[in-house]
Amino acid sequence: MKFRSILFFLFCVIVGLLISIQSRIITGTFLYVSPKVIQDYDASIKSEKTEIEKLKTLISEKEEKIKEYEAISGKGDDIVASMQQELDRLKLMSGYKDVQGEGALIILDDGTRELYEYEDPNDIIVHDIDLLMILNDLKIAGVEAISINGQRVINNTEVNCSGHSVRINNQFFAQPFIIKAVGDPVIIESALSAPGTYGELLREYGLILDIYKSINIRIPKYSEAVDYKFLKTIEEGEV
Amino acid sequence: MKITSGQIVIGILALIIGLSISIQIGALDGDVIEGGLVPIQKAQSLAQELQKIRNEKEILVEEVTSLEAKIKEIEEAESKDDILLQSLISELDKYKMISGMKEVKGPGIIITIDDPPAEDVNYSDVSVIMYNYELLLSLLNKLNDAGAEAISINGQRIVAITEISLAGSNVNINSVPTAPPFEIKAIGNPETLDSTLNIRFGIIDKMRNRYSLQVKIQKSDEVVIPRYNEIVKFRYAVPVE
Repeated sequence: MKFRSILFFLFCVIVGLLISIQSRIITGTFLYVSPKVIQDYDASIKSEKTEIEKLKTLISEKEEKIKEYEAISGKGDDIVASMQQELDRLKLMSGYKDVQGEGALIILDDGTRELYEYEDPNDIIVHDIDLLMILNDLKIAGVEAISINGQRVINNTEVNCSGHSVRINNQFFAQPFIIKAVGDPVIIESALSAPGTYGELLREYGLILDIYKSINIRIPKYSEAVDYKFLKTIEEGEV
Repeated sequence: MKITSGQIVIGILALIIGLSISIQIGALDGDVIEGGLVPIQKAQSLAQELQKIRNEKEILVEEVTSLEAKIKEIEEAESKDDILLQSLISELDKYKMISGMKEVKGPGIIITIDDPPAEDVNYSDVSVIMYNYELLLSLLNKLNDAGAEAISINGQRIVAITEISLAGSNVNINSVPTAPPFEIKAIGNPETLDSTLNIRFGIIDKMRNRYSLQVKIQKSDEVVIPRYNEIVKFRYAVPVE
């Protein structure tokens, strides 16, 4: 009996300890966190990590540029060539240069089928959101340059449905919309015609969406002058 | 066998020990937390990690700026009495601004879009704004139409090839994953931008009433929009003169 009670006493001590440890962890240190918050954190962390990767490539490129400059300093012609190259790259990126290359020509037009009884004619008409979605799908497909009816798509290109016509880069166009894109033709085709894509949806509604792959697509540059009224660059040291 | 009161007590104690050990293990193991009751240390560690990464990013951004300043310095030193070079430098500056490779500021508006509040009847686990990201495309389009000169979403500068794509539980913009709330900044005439978005049955109206999203618009005298920081490698497009 004596042995038994010693054992019992030890047991009680252990349980007591465990409970007190447990309660210390629980009191004030447990927190209800909703799955959404965790997801948000995850997303932010992922996002910042991608950003950091990009910045690192940017830094190594800039460092190379400085090395290049230091190697050619004093020789006027070389630095001109190097700067010209940089300028061409910026123009290419922003759409201020004619480009050509592999790609696809896409024709988007209103449907020609008969409407069902009481069907809304809007179902078979091309809208601005259709064009926007197609443009976005092309960009996701990694396309490097796009034009609609000869208008280069740049960062502030608008596609505005205004009644019977559509305004793109401040110029008016009507159907059909001829979209040219420079990029991988196979990816472009699948981005617009694979099951579940927006292009496929448009076809199901009866709109016309034709894709012609091409080995040489030529896209004109953005032809209007830029005149920023509000924009100012921030120089180093400014906040 | 007769069950004594001691045995019952021991039985209960064993149960309690078992429970506390299992709770303990459950609380401590696993790096993946999916929400629910989480020890505060773990929740804090996420916040700390984010903070650490943000600081690292800050440092990198500063490095880029200082490197660029250095490049410019070299260019200017070279072009002291060379008119050709000087004009080249101003061209470079202009196109850096146009292509989004420079941080910019100016008057404009800031729009914040978030999912419907949790107590909303239509609320579900999926994010409304992410699954309807065409609303964002449409919003950008309206801003461009109203003459916005520079736009960013959650810190991602919108350039000619910026895409918005739904990828799993995130929306990728410039291939950087982001999640709601979306903060859209635009530089332009604040009045024009504001009233273009706010017209009756316009885009904001649609977001609020049809999708019950929480939208806030704020006009501002100075909006700062970050630069685009990716090096675009052109593999298909070849420039032609």
